[in-house]
Amino acid sequence: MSDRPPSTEERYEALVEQLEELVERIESGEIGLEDSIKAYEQGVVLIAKARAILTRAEQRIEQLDLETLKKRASGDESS
Amino acid sequence: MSGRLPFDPGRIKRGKRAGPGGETPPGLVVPGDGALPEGVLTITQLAVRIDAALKSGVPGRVRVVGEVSNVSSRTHWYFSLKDEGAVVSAVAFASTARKLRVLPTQGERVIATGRLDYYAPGGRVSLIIDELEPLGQGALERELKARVEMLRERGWLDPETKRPLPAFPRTIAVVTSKDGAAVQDVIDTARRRCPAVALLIVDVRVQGERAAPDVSEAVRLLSATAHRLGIDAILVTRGGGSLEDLWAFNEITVAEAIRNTAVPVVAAIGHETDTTIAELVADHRAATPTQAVMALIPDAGALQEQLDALARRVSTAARQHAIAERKRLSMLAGRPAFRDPARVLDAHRDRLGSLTRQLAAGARTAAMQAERRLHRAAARLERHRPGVIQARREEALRALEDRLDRAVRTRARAAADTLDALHRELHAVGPLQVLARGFSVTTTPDGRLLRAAGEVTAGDEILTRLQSGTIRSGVLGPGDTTPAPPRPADRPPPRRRRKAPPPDDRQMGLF
Repeated sequence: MSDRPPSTEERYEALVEQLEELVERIESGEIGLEDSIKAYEQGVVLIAKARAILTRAEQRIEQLDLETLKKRASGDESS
Repeated sequence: MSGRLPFDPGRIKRGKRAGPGGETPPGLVVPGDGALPEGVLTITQLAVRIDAALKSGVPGRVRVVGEVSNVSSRTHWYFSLKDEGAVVSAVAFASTARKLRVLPTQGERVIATGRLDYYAPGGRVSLIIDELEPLGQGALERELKARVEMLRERGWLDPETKRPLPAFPRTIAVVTSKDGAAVQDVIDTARRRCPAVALLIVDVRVQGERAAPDVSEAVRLLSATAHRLGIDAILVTRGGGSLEDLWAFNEITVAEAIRNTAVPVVAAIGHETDTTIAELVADHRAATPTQAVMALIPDAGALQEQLDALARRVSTAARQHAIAERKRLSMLAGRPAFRDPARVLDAHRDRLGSLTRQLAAGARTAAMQAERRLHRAAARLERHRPGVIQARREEALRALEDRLDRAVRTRARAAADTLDALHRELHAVGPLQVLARGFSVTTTPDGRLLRAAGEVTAGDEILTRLQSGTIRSGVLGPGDTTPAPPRPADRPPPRRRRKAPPPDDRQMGLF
């Protein structure tokens, strides 16, 4: 796992959750028109990010044996 | 018996060489003193014959069913197999025992497979077992059941303790053998579902004695590093195999490791029909590695659709919000206040006018009511003024006077009427009236009234009074002598008012 794991905010789940929240806020009509336009713009960004995750073509696969995993785990503890 | 082999291979080999059919080879020198009588065998010779007879008379491998008894186990397992009529000793050497795993128990019925062996130094025939299966339920299965029961009592199988799987995991750690059938299924399915999900494959032994410690350690290490490595779920899997092959996944150490992970665990061990403890305590059980991956990794196509739908919702919602606001604005612009302000004013003016009128009318009504009340009060007061009371009394007095006057007058008139009537009556019944009707009254000269002829004698003078004048006459003598009805001499003549006479008598009158 040389790649850094995606941060919580960038996770697909989180993106979709934020997106659903936005939609509900706009649909509820509880926010003003200006806020709803802002929310829409935010939504467009979120959708683009989520799409980028889904369309990532190459799968990251790493294989390790138990010894390597052990070393990595203890490295975790020391660092 | 402990610690020594039940037979001596060297001796048996020697015996085997003794010759087919168990014939004592000629020239074999029997140890002992001097020659033996003809036809006498030594024990060793007999043993050789027994061994030969056993080998020729019984197939090399036998399968027998019997009840286990006298179990004793150290390095090797020793026990007896028996039925109602016979007992045979049985032994499972250490290598076989390790394979069998579960020691048979006293009274258990088993099918034992092995070869018969005659151990000459011990003088004993034994069944050397290489397979042992319990009749009915297998020992491993029974053990598995017992463990499942124990874990159920611990609450480890409760559905409410199962954690939900992540909707979109970043990385899935896969604990399996890199040489097994499962790993390729996992990689293929993951790629097909969604390449965005990373896989971290940890190679472990999935069979044999090291499998359980390996698997549990891998699970523990992955759980400890899950946060840093972005691992959102762990998949423990291996392909199909016998119950013995899969046994590592029934060990409690594996169950404990799975139970204590920081992230949800999916287990897919063996075929669909196999159930292992690892699968039972995992958060999700899958029938095959492929299905496990499908449970863990969402389908990118479906997610694309979901995302498209969300995108549509966002733009639709935003657009509709704008439309709604525009509509609200135009509705506001169309309201009378903006369209015709003068009319709004008119309405207010009308209202004011009507209120004014109402106020005036109300005031009037109130005044009238007050006036009426005043009149009523004045009238009541007037009735109670002293002069009025006096006048009322005088008036009452006058009325009484009138009534009295009228009563007296009426009474007087009634009295006068009575008097008149009496007078008329009196006149009607008076003697003069009788005389007027032609009757006459006869008296003596001194005025004594004559009522009977006997009251006078001839020669007496009598006076007869008529209506007009009196006649003096002399009595000549008695006339008709019929006497008048007797009546008391001094009684006054019956009065008109007496009740006694009948009505016609009254009419006929006194005379």
